[in-house]
Amino acid sequence: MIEIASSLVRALQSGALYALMAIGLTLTLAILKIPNIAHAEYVTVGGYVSFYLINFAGFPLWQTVLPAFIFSGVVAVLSYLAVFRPLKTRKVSMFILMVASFAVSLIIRYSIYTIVAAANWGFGVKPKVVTNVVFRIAGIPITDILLMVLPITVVVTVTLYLFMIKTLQGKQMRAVADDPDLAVVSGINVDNVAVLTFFISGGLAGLAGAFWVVFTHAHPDIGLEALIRIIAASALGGFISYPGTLIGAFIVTLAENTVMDILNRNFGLSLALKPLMPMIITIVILVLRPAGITGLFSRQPRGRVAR
Amino acid sequence: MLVVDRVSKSFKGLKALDEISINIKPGHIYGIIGPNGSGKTTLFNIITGVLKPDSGQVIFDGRRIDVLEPNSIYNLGITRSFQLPTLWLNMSVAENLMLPPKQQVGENLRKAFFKKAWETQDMQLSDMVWQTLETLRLKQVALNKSSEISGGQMKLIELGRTMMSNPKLVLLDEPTAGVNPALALEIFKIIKEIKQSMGLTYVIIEHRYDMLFANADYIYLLNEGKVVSEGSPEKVINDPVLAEVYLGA
Amino acid sequence: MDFNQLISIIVSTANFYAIWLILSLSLNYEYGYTGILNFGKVLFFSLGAYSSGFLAANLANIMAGVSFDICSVEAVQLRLDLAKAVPQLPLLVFVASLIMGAALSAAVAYLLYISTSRIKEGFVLGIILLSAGETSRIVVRNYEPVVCGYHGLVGIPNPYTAAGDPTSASFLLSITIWVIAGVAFLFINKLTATPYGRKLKAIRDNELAADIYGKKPSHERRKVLMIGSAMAGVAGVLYAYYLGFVAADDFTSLKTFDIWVAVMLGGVGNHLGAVTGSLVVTLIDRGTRVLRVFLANLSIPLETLYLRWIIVGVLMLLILMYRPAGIIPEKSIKTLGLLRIIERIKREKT
Ligand SMILES: Nc1ncnc2c1ncn2[C@@H]1O[C@H](COP(=O)(O)OP(=O)(O)O)[C@@H](O)[C@H]1O
Ligand SMILES: [Mg+2]
Repeated sequence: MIEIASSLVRALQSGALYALMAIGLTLTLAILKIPNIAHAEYVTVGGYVSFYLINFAGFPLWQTVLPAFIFSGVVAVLSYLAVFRPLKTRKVSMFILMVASFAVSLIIRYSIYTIVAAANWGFGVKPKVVTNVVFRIAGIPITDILLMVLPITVVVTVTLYLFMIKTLQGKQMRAVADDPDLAVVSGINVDNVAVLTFFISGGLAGLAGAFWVVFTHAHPDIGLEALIRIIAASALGGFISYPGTLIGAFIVTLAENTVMDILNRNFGLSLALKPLMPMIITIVILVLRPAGITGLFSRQPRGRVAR
Repeated sequence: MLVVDRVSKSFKGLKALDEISINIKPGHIYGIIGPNGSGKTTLFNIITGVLKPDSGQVIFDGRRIDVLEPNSIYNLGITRSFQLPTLWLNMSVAENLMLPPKQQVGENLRKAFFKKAWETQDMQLSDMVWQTLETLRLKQVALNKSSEISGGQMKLIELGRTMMSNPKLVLLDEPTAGVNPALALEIFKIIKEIKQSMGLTYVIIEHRYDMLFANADYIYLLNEGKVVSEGSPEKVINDPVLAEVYLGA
Repeated sequence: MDFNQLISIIVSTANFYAIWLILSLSLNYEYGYTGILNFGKVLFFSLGAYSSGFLAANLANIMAGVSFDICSVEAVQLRLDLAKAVPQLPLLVFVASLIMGAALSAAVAYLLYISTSRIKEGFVLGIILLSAGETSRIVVRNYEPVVCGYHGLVGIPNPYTAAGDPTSASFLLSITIWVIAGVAFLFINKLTATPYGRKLKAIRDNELAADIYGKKPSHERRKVLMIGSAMAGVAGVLYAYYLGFVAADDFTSLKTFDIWVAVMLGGVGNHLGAVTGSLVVTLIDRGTRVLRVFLANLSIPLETLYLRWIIVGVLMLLILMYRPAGIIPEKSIKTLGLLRIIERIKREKT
């Protein structure tokens, strides 16, 4: 029982981070119609910023969060300015944007490989962070990292949600998401909206990466390994829904960890099959509810329309 | 022939079609008019299966078609043109016209391997294409990429594709928009000729009322997703509702 | 470098090229002709390879009536001994692998396709295929019963063990690879230089118009993805038999990307483009490996294996921005009917 409860707590922790990672993918897709595979690399970038600051500059973990956010945000904006914007002005299809994002992801990942190799940081090194159990609830250990991750996630997601609803920039982002052509004629500077979207998306991924690197290790592939969960979470949100993506991230991690733990304990299912879970969930959702788990509230039918 | 029965369709709460009913009988030319946004194109989208109605039904030759996919509806004999040209842009004009004919043997995955099975048919098609090109005066651009021709010529290909599809019912969405007046007159002449020689039925959305009224047998006037007036061209012209709709009174 | 070494480098490059060519042709059929965003190419490639390893290992166990762990040293020895004792066996298993690789890939393609078929946006299928490819790699790397997880499965015997000496056996295998690639090229060419190919391009260019004019976009795409995936599965079988071993970590989405570069560089919707593009990609791939050894000998601390991906990524972006049509741009499908129109127009002009 206690194992299951602690597995739940761990799932909560990873769920929060996957949520932060996946929000950005959904935002760029919903607002700018760019299926950006390179999004996973912003996680890696944030992870390495945090790793570097902790291991080589002696920062405590919590102080690396903001630099990781900013650095990854800037990398994301650069990928927009250097690649996606020029392609968008050429009016290429969404497919081509996705192919381009594939290229961007390799460029970022292998630049990191090159830097890590050249600087001799080593691959798969753990950041020097000591995790302490602060207290126990009914025997379930609660660590200080969990106490950092959860509040930050809640604050960030709520703030972003309010930002989208209340502020002018947020409203502009939603207007662009609804109808980019209409937004242009209404005098919205779509380019500014795009830069802001990329900064926030990349920043959140980087922020998540700063913690993620502590749970895993510093390696240029950590973003790639997270990618299948990021995609699953976003798919559960129908690739357009903000709350859907958040809930999706928790469902994915619960299924991958807690449910698989239970299956393993009771039916001897190999834990090596864990990564199948996000895929299975994604496919089940796409078949049963193509508009995502929040599809019930979605405003418009998906699909093509002739004019 | 075609019955649209109390069809409604909304987008985000905006009612594009509001319990609309129309009845198309074979062998006539029908005109559909109405201000921008009155739901004309949406009506075509519903009939051809691009959109599914929220309520109501569409019946063609005694069969319910609003549950079918566009390709099945096409094979039953309904063809349409688009208001904004929707061509196969990476292909030449001639290829755009070679695609519509039904039951092309060479389009079948298995039979494609056997040239003999489809080459004669392909040659016959090319004769049809040639005729269409001649009729529409498109010969000089036949081999150009369809993305590299003028907007008016694109509209002509839209029309040409419907001519290539051997249908029973043709829906034309503003066939003369962006075409010069002389050619527009010509287009209506062609439509009339085809109708007479092949016994087709046309439903035409058109903003050139003079030409439409001179050629159509029956007019539907749409406003805000409803039919607000219908009847012979003379009747609709003289209906006070027409002025009302257009002056927004 | 002596003569024999040179020959062996040329032969191995030709083998890799032939395998890449099959993959590029199939992607060109899927994306270039039909507009399917297959970002999971490597998944179907790997299914072919896994089938080979799995069959070779388990059939050997069954034949010998033992139940060794397929990853154990005994099992490897058994496979090789059995191949020597019954020299026809490896060829049979090879043929069985080809069938299973193709069928399994087509079946998985079918399942993944229909799972997204209610969604019209094509990028969703692309994302799902990408995700499926990564998922399968991660699972197979950790789950030993398929092909020995992290360590990979070694000891897939050469199908032509019956030929006697290893040199002739591997030469025969190379010939087989080239012949299959050649057949794939002819097959795809013959299939698409037809009204069928034209129909696929219509679906790619404008799905709505194709649907309105009676083509069945979803139905056709599904079939194309299944055929293309079967081809990739066959390529995977050839790859596994050529290397003689299979490891999950060999099948990252980097392979998928290479094939995309080949198709986009060569020219979309054009089989000669795939032929050219995959040659360039093969040369880059083999070249960096040679260069790496060369640099290491000079003790220059530059990791070409990393640099290679940055270069290929930039190359892809340059193609997309400055030469979207690729080296050999797409041409019309000249069926007899179209040729006739072309002729008539020429005649009118003179
Ligand atoms: N796909 C769509 N999504 C949202 N609104 C639409 C869509 N298609 C049409 N509309 C709206 O429905 C109304 C009717 O449009 P339409 O049928 O195109 O009018 P018409 O062809 O008569 O000009 C318009 O207000 C239009 O904005
Ligand atoms: Mg309209």
